[in-house]
Amino acid sequence: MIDVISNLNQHLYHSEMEALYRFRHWYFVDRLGWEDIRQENGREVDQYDNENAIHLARFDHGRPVSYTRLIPTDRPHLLSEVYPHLMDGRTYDTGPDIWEWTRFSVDPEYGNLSRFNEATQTMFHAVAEYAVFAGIKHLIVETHPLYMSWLMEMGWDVKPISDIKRIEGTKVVVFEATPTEGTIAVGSEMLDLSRSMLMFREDAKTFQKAS
Amino acid sequence: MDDQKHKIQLADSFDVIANIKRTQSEEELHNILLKVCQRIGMTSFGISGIPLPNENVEPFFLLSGWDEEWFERYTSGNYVHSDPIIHKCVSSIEPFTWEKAVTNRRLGAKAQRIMNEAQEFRMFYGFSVPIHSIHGHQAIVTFGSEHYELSEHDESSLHMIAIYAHAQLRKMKQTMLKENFPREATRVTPRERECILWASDGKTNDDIAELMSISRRMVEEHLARAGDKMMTCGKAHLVAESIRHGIIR
Repeated sequence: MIDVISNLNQHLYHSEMEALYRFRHWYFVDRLGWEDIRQENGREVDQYDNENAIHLARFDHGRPVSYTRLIPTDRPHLLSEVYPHLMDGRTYDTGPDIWEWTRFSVDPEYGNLSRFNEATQTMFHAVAEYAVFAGIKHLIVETHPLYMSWLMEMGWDVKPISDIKRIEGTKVVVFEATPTEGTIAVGSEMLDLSRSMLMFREDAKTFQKAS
Repeated sequence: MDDQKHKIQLADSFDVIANIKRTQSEEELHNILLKVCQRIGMTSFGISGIPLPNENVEPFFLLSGWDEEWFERYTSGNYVHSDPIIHKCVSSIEPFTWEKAVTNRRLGAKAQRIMNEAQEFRMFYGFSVPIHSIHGHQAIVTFGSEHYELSEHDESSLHMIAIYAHAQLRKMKQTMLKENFPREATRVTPRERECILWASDGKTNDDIAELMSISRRMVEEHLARAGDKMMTCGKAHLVAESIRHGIIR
């Protein structure tokens, strides 16, 4: 299952969130070398980890297997604040139903380029499910062009909106990724699922917050 | 911006991509790629899956914009397994020029011969885009020419176009494949598939059980069920048929 962690239920995920921040630091700073976001305490947390963020994560006995974060584009987001140069002054659609997909990460023990990559497929599928569930029209992604191929393979409609650029030597392209009902069908068939992957943990406080 | 000197503007490559997504036949796609090639000064192109060491390339070929004689020589001579461009492609996720793939490397006699023979077909220079599928399959989209005049920006445009051309072809082929496929074979589950994949790697059922953290009996059951669906007899046959039908590679 993929846990959906939001402002409404984050109080149920204290230790898991801690593990996720450390996982992010290990993955992006230690492994991929993103020195700009290095933190002394080994927790990769930024200003976008606020009450608007949605975290999707899969755990294996409490240990993060895969993770990603969605943030709304009607507020400051990475493309508007950190990487605006990727767009070369071109405008792009933003709004409450357009979200930015960031910090996608899979523990390489569970998936890499050369092996059957069920962990990546599962997370892509969960993001599609969440987007359809939450009424998100499309997601904006800034990542390696390789992911365009992968998402298309999983039935997403993908549309580049920038040139392919380099950030510290790594290629990055900005694209819009639109999930449809068809996307969910492709993922369900690929992963042999008969029900949703998403898990919404909740308690009385969740309902209090929601109302 | 100094966009003027590029052969393809960004807006143009977005248009090309939109057109590729609308194509319904290989012929349409072929024509679009041909036009792109003419525009950027490339003379030939090819899109192919990359076969395993013991397989012939021909069934993997998706679309050929190559000289017919070269295509014939390449497939019948099994060049794919000695082609240095293919070797580079397998180990790279970034596109590369052929020059980059062969400089500072000692090429074997057959590899050198392939590069030389390609020149007889006006392919002196080239640009290749590796495609890695989410299932771990590999493919290549490759462009060749007599002269090489692509800017880095043009290479990026070709990179994007290549990704879409391959994705569109795969979609067309998948529809075709589904039509003449044992229906049950499409119902091999991910767990069954993972068992087959490990088996193809020479793992015993005990090894697989440990790798997948399941019991040996479960492994046997997964393999037996997959075998039923694929109508095969024994593990080796199951692995062979799974490869043939693209369930594993």
